[in-house]
Formats: sequence, C-alpha cells, structure tokens
Amino acid sequence: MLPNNLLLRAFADPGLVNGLGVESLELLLAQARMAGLTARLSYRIEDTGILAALPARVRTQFAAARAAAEGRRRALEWEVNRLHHVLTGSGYPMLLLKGAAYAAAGLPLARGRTSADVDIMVPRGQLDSAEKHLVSHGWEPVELDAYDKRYYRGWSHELPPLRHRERGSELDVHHTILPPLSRLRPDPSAFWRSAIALADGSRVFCPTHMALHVAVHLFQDGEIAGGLGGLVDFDELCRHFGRDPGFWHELVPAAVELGLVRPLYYALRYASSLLGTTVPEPVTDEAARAGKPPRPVRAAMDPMVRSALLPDLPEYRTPWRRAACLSLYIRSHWLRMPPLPLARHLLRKAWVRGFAATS
Amino acid sequence: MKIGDLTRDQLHQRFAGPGLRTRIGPFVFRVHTPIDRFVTDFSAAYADFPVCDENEISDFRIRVTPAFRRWPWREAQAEFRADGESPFRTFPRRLAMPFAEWGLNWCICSHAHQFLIFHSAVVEKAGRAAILAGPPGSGKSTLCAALLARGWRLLSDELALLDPARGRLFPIPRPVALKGTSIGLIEGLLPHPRIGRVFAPTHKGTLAHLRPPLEAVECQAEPALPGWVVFPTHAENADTRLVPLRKAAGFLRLERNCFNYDALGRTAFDALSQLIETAECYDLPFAQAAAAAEMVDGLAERQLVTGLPLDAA
Amino acid sequence: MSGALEEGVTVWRVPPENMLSWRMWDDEFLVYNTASGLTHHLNFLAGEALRSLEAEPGSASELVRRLADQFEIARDSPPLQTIDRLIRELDELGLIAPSTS
Repeated sequence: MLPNNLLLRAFADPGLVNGLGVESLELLLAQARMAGLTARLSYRIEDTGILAALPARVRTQFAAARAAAEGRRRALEWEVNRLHHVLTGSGYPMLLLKGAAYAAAGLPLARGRTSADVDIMVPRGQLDSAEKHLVSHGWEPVELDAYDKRYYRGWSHELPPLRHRERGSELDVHHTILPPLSRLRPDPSAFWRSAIALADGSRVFCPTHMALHVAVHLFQDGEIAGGLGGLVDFDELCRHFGRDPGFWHELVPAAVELGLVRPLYYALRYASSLLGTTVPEPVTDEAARAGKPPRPVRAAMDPMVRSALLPDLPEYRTPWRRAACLSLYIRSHWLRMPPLPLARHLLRKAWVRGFAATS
Repeated sequence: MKIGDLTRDQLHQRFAGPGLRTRIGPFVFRVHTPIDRFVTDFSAAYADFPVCDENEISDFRIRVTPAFRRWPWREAQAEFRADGESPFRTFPRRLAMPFAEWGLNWCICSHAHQFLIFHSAVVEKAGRAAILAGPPGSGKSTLCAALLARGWRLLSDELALLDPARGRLFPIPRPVALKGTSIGLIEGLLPHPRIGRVFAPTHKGTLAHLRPPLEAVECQAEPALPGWVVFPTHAENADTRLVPLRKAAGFLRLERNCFNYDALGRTAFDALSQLIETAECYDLPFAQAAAAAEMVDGLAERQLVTGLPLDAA
Repeated sequence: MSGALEEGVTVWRVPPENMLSWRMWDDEFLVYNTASGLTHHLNFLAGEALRSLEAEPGSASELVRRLADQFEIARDSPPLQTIDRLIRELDELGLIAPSTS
C-alpha cells in the first residue's frame, strides 16, 4: 500500500502521470523540483512511453532540467578524467563511488542526476600520501574551522573535502564507507577484492556492493530526510542489476559478510513499499531473518521514514514531520559517533546555524 | 483579460485562493499571496499582463507569505518561495515587491535552461535587438530606459533569453528596476513614466519599478534576432563613444555575463558563436544616458539606411 | 607518423573523445572541448599548434618543425621557443595527452 504522495507514486508507477490534471501536474513538478528529481522523473516517464502525451510546457521544464543535469554529468566525468590523470598514473588505485561510479560505468541510473561532487575511495594506508599528491596537483582543502577539522580527521572516514583551485570542483576522498567509530565496521578490503575495472582503468564497486553502499548511506550514514533520491538510486540499481539472478543470490550473503544487514533490510523494505521495487520473496525473507530489527524499533521507524522522505513543500511541513526529521538526524549521528562527543557536536552545529540565521 | 481589468476584490480573492496565473514573457507564473500590499504593488506593476486560464499549466509556483517575526521589535516579515524553495531569508513585509522581483529572476536563472540566460537588457528597433550587457552599476538599466524614450521596444531590462535552436531573443518585458538617482533621471527622460511606489531602504538603496510600456507587453510573444552587443560603462566624466570590439573579446565578455553557459556545454558554445558571428560588438563608455542612447540609435539608423540585413538567419 | 622517434620522447595527440569545436575571429581562436565542457581562448600560435596536433600526433620537436615550415620562420625563433611550455599547459587543460603507442 503506497502512501498518498504524488512524487513517490509517480516514481513507482510513472504511467499514472498521463491521467493527471493541471493541479496535480503542478504539484508533481513542484515536489520533483524540491527533491532535485525533475530530470530523473522525466526519464522514468519517458521509459514508460507517455512523455510525448504530456503538455508542451511540462516537456519544456523536463528538457531544461535534463540540460542542467547533463552539464553536471559532463563536469563529473571530466573530474574523474583529471583524477585518473593524477592518481592512477602515479600508483594510487582509485575506486569511484556513487554518482561518479554510475556515470563512469554508463548505468541508466546516471541519467538526470544532479550531484556535482566526486567521491572516491583509496586504500587507508595511502590516504595521507594521496592527499599530498592531490594538493600538489591543484587541489586544496576546503576552509574548515578547527573543530570541524578535528571531526573529520579524528572521527570521520573521509578527508576534509578538497576543492580544485581552478575548476572549483569538490572532492571527497574516503578509505571506507562508514566512519571508523561507527557500530558497523565493514572491512573495505572486501570492496577492493570484488571491484570491477572499467575501460579507462578506474574501478567501481561490484553491483552488490553498489547497492549495499546506497543502503548504508541512506539508513546509517546519512540523515534519511531528503533522501528520496537515494531510495530511487537503490530502486534503480535493483531494477538494473536485478535482471541477473546472481545479484539477488549474493545480496544478503554479502551484507552478512560486511555486517550491513540492518541497513539492507531497511532499504529493501522501504524501496519495495514506497517505490514498488520488485524484490524476490526469498530475498525479502532472508533479509528479514538476518537483519530485521525488534518490533518496537520497526514500528517507530516506519512512519518516521515515510514522513521524512516526503519533499518539504509547505503543505507537508507539519510539526509531526519536523519531529520525524529531527529524531532521524539524532539517530544517524548516534550511529556514527561514540556517545560522549555527540551532544557537544549537535549543540555546536545548532549554535552555528542559529547564529547565521539572525546575522 | 489583463490583470488591470480585475477589481480589487477579484484580485485579492484570486491571489489568496487558487493563485493568480499570468504569462510573463515565455513563462506562466502562478502567484499566491494573502498580503494586501503586495497584491496592490504587483497588480499595479503587472497591470498590462494577461491573466491565464486555470487550465494553463504554470512554469513556477510562487508563494509570498507572512513569516514569523522572531523578535518582537522587528517589523512584520514575509518570505518568498518558488516550488517550496527560497533564495533568501525572510524580509520586511513592506518590501515584498522588490524581493519578489528578485525572486522571479532567481526562478528563471535557476531553471529556465531551455534558454541561454544573460544578465543583460535587450531592446529592439527596426527588427534587430541590441543586447546591453554589463555588471550591476554599469548603467545598462538607465541606458535601456533612455532607448525606450527613443522608440526602442523593451524585450527585457534584466535577463536576456536566447533560444539556442534558432538564435532568437525572447522577450520578458518585466518592470524595470530603477535604483537611487536613476529614478529622477528616468522621470526626466521618458514622456509619461509610470513609476510605482519608491521602496526604501533596501540594502541596494532606494528602489522603484517602472511599468513596462504597453507595446512591450503586447508584443511579449514576438522574439527578435540580435543585431548588436553593447557593453555600457557609466562614469561621471567619460567620453561617450562607441568603440568596436573584436569578436573574440565580445564572445568572452558575453560568456562572463551568462548565467548558464557552463551547464549548456556545446549548445552554449554554438549559440554564442552564432550570435557573435552575426552581431556587431561595442564598448560604450558614457556620461549621459541620453547621449549614449543617441549613439545606439545611430546603429539602428545605419542599418536601415544601408538596407543590408545583418545576417540571413 | 612522420619523423624518427627517439626513445623516451613523448608523442602528443588530441584524445578522440575531445571532439574539439573551433571558431576563429581575427587571428584568435575559441575552442570547445566536448570531454571537459570547457571553452578555451587561444592566440594564433597556440591555436595553430593545437590544430596541428589534432590533425596528426607529434612530439614537441616535430611540432616546432611543422610550425616553422608553416609560417616560414626559424625553428629557434622566440615564439617557437615557448612550445614546451605551451605543450605543458595544453596537457594540464586536458586538450592534449601523451599518445599511447
């Protein structure tokens, strides 16, 4: 039973867009714009074959969104090209993550994405020297205050962001996919072992790990609120790779090996219930057996997640939704950091945000 | 039916209820607001624009609404949202009109990538358009108004919309934003300037909106081919003259003036190249807007006299 | 490939994915690189050098020879002494790359 949110329903069943009246179409376009998903929605609709039947003004808005997304993709692919030029040639193996990986691998999922930052993974032992190497080739660390710097270096799983001096692009260099002090600690060597090499020599996760990474980012590392795009990523990866039965066979075992069954359980659960992703029943059962949280936790998560994934139009900004977003934010930071620094970190972030708002 | 044809009550009902739909240039805006003063200011500035049928789907959904005051000594606040997003924090409610105008600019620049968008004024005479390009403070709005006084049609005061496919500039003849001393200047230049309420203070100084000429709004569906690209620079003791510019320099300066050149890639390169190929480029340092306008007028006259089309597009 | 190759000499070429698009006005070039999405403004010498490598890969010295012949100037004339630096810059910008033999 899908919740009554037009954007979610349109992703699950793009054909329904054909029958929408003006008011509903406008609501859909507004929700899509807020979520940054206009171009991606347009490709889903096109795949269903009904794009030509929509009003010209809608198609123009779609074309404009696609043009902007293509520009981002071009920039992303060029960044990968330049990184390859600098890193791979100098003996730093480079694993592409997320948007950069989807684009480099030419996945259908790459169409219409609007992420501009590049995420890569390098072996932990080479992290510092890779950073020095990048800095000597035109990248520089983004301005951070001392507190945030300590957070990144001490607690996080990535370097502070780097920005290219001339191109202005941002780069995040990771050595694993979750902060080292999280409760979940997948061993990154598994990712390197199964990584797939692309024609130009850069590497991407194998399909199973790609899907797991999205699940982890959504339900462990990130803040879920505003994560509709991530859930759509997971859905599209499952649709694309799921045509090969091998993908489904390996999914839960890989999650078990890496200790990531809980986020996988959530991803499968919410992708299927909210976006209508077709998950083979044996896989659902297996994931439940291995990763289902206790009933009270599930009961609390369900409405919170549904609510948090709704695009933030004024119509949806109920006090209930604000509470949902806030508790998910606290939860994700709790999972990332040991308890003691958490309150201090959150308090400080709130202070900074509050100060900026009144200045 | 035009916005100016609606009664005050009808206007308030529409704005506060289903929203007012209007076509501004190539875009349909749907505007919601319960703020009386904003209804008055907006309806006055946009009185000549058409009201659209409720079946006409919009490009942007705008909401200008009261916002929480936060501190009791602050004046009443408002906020601007387009499809749920806002480019700025809350602002004094009495300044809703200028903020909404900036908000509309932001909407177009953020999303209208079916066009190449420049931070330029565009005016047309004798079937050709002059793009007046330059950073804020270059005097392009004043020069633009002075050209209107000489019979040029207004296509846009702020944003040039270039259709990459056929190289045409699409009109979006919105109210002209006049700042500070140029308000008085324009009153001197134009025979019957229809200038709205003066807003003060904003962080940009005093501000008022000049209603676009009726003819400009009536012709807002008629694009024009570019004939000239002019880079005005106003300075108190400048020597007013047209200085021909090398085409490569014209390309680079216009590219800097473009909001979405990078995003549109090859399409942008080809469209801008085509524009530069067919249009003449000039620098125009000037002291008096009237004298500068006379120079630009001379370009159109020359074209009429020689009778040669500037290109065969 | 014309000319004898010494060991260790880099042969430069324009990668095919660049699909360069050119415009020229008054001895100045504007070139768009499809792979990077960047537009470059090149002076006459830089533009001719790049076009030469686009037409056929070559080493730095080979390029000097071609340009000297094309413009009928000496190979050690001041403009051609900057070719090494030009090649470095074009490489940095991604307009050219070492040819993989």
